[in-house]
Amino acid sequence: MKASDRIVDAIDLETYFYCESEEEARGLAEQLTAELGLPHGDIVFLEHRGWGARVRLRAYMHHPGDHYRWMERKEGQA
Amino acid sequence: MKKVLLAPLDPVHDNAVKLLKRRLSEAGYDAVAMPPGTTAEEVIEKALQEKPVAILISRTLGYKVGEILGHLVDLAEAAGLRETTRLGVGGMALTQEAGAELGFDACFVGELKMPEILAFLEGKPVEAARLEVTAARAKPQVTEGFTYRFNDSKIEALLDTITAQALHWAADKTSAGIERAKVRAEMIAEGVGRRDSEPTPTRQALLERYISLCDSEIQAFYREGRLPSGVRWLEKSEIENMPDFSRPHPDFGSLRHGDQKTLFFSQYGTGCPVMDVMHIKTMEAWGIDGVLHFDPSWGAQREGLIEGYLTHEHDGTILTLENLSFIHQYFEPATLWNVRGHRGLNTPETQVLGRAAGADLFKINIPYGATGGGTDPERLTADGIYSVMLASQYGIPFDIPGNDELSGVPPHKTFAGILVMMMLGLKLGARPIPKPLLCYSPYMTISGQMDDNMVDMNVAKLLVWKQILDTPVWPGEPVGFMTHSSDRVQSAMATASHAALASAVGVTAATIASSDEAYSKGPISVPARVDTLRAVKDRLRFDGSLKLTPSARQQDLMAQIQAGITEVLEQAAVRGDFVASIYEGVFGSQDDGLYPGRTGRGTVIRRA
Amino acid sequence: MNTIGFAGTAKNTGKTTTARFVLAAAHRAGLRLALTSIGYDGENRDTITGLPKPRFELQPGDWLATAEKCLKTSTAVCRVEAVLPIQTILGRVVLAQVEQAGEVLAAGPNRAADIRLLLERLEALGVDLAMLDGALNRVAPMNAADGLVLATGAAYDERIPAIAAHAAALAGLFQLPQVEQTAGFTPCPGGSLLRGMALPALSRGLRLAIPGACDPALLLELLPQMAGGQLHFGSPLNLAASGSPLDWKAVMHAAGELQIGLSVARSLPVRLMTVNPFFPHYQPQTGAYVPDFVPAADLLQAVRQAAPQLPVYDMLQEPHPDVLSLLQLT
Repeated sequence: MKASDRIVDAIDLETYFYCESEEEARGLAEQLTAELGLPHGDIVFLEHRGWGARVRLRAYMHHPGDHYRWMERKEGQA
Repeated sequence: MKKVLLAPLDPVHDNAVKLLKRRLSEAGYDAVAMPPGTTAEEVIEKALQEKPVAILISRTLGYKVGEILGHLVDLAEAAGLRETTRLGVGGMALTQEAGAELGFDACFVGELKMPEILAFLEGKPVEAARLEVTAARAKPQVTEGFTYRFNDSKIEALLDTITAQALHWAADKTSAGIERAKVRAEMIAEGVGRRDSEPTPTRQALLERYISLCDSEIQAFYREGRLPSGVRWLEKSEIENMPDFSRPHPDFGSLRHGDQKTLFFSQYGTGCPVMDVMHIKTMEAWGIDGVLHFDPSWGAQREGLIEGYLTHEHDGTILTLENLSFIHQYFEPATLWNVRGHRGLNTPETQVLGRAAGADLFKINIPYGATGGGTDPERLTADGIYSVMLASQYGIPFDIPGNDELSGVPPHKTFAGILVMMMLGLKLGARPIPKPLLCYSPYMTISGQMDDNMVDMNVAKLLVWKQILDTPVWPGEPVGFMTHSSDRVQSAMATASHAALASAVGVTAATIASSDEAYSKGPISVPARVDTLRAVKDRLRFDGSLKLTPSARQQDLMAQIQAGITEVLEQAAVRGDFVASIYEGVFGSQDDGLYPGRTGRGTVIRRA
Repeated sequence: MNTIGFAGTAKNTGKTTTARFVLAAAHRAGLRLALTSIGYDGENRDTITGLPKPRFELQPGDWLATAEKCLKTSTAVCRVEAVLPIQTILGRVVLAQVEQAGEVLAAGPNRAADIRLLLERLEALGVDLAMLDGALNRVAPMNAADGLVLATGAAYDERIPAIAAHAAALAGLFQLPQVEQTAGFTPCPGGSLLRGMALPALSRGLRLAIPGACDPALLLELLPQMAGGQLHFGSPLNLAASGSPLDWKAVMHAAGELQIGLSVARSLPVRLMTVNPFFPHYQPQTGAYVPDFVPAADLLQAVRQAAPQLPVYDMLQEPHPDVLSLLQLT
């Protein structure tokens, strides 16, 4: 079992990009989720001011109604 | 009266339209608002009847919404409206690029900014209104308007006695720290105060004199180029490749809402001047009024300061003229700058460097620096009094942090020490600012005075000052000390609650933490700074002009603190020796968790 | 100079892809060409769905009219010839000539009056072909073009029969006869016929001119009162901007029954219709869009059958048409 299997629903990534515009920040955010291999990364929050952007990125590991891997019993467990 | 047509083009939401209608009416426009659920056809029909100068559409952008907005623009074109009526759009998820794709004449992104809307309606470039720089904002004066007149004559008289003795004691004292400050001031006056200054005979002579006043570790830096551990030179490329922070930007606004007055400060000192600049610029963008420079704690424990562009891998940015000037050049014109001056053995020289780099405020507290700060009381009294003289000579106000409370000292003892510093400042012609802590101190934990709430005691600690004298009050440092955990939301909320309390009491300024405050394994992060600033701004917005009138309990606590201060000052006055009072724990004893500092013991020199 | 407008029935129907084909063919033929957009085109990603988009690449000698801001983000090296008195959201429009090939971002004038001003400048520079890239479903500014390329596809509607019916009705608007003479027509008050506006006095045999916008549903209600009359519109693009082509199809049918003649003051030919099976598929679970497609061959066949009077192509399916001859540029 991977640690990510035990994430109940989502993983959020909080960061700040040095960039010139909100548009650039969006591009960087998308690029970052790809670099980190996060599935279907989305931007939850993004605010650009002056010299950079505060960003929260999210990737859902389990959506409601999915097969929840965190419920799978570990090997050897009854 | 110019007519403007407002339409939500949204099935349900029209709050933005209603708000805009009120604002436009206040600005003298005839704003005609259409109801939610209005179609593009209805908007154009209305526009053909009303002949407005502009149509402003409010709509959140989403899939297929583009086509609805595009249809409106197309219809306006087909109806021949575009020659006479300009089209603007605003709403969530919009960008300038999306606005251009939709064919609008203007696009308003983010929260409602009336200067942009009004510029658009008047046919002026919106871009210019957006980029109206903050230059117009004047730098606030923290001590302006305060008379420093005493309301408590008993306390005034006691302070007069204590400080007369202290000043008399200091009159014939000097130290290596004071002498180095004089040499450094001369080097700066001669234009040879930097590491890259021409090695003229003047520089060489002054530097030799300076080095002779330093301890061996600092001498090794100047003579052999040996750097303290964890310190490296900043590369030339790092200095030269800094981002262009001079480009125009929108007015960032402040954290305050409405008529609120309290200025908000935050500390920096990541170790690296380049990183500090990024932190400061980010804080400015999110509304900070001023910042405080923090240097490594070892800077207080060596005789002498090093020089040059230096970066440090641990907390605190090394205090050199080069580092300070480098950082300060990137400030917005209105940003206030405090350079912490109570730096142990280098306290006087720190004022010299801070002033040369453009500091607006200093920080000096003898009783705290001589106990919690670890410097010998005698040495810091000599150096501290000289530093207050420098602050007076430079016309730079200094603040007096009451951080000895964090060791377990009750507030009245800390405040008594702060008041002695204030009277020293006033007698020497300087402008002091008391900095009571807003915190959950060990004393409060043990005494149980904050078991029920954290408001009553904190309010008393802020309002008691007005009963003693007319002074600015600046709670620090940072507010909410010991209420922060390393959880970001909790931490930001704790800071915001304390900041709002300070603002409601009406203090002059407050120092706020970042939401990383309780994390100790690395520097504060930029996102953590932004989060706290956002939390504070939101909390101040929530409170608006709410004012806090002291309750009976709060007044009672104030009276207790004031009586406690009087008692401490009486003891100090009776003792008749300020330095001895510190050694003996009058302003905070070993029982309170406070011990006299040892660094620099026996180094005060009696002048011939 | 020939001005070709590339208009779509919705975002992502393939305007830019078709325009890229024309651009490449024009480069091969050595035409002196100019590119502009009535929106914002050439970005890497869609401004709304975030999905990747094709970009324009220009060659040395080509002209580009775009907002100042966009010139800076283009990889092509350009020399600015003039700053035009045209203001857009992204800044003033500049006229620039490409010196070194590269990708460009086009965001030019978006109002017909400004487009005409630009076209005059391009004509004076000796341009052979001016390409006006469209935006979303916007068509009205294309009134300034000499001919049109219409792009439709699954991004307009994911049901193939619906795409085909819409395409046929849209193409029908461009078959209205052009009558330049307006004498003897009663002008519609305000130039447009929309609900809530003052209506003209209607009578049998009325000859009514509606040069601006016109609500087809309202018109359909009014038609019986002017049986035997004549309706004279501004342009087929104004009709397309005013309502669904399917509503206009109903108007045309009713007008035929009531013996009401229909005409336009200025028509322009549709030179080519293209279809695109792509549509952005919204995934509510992730809130993201993923590329999806309807069956390409079925789409092409359905639209060809529905609009037999037009050359219809899927630019990503073989065989590719000779676009220059279709656009009458050879």
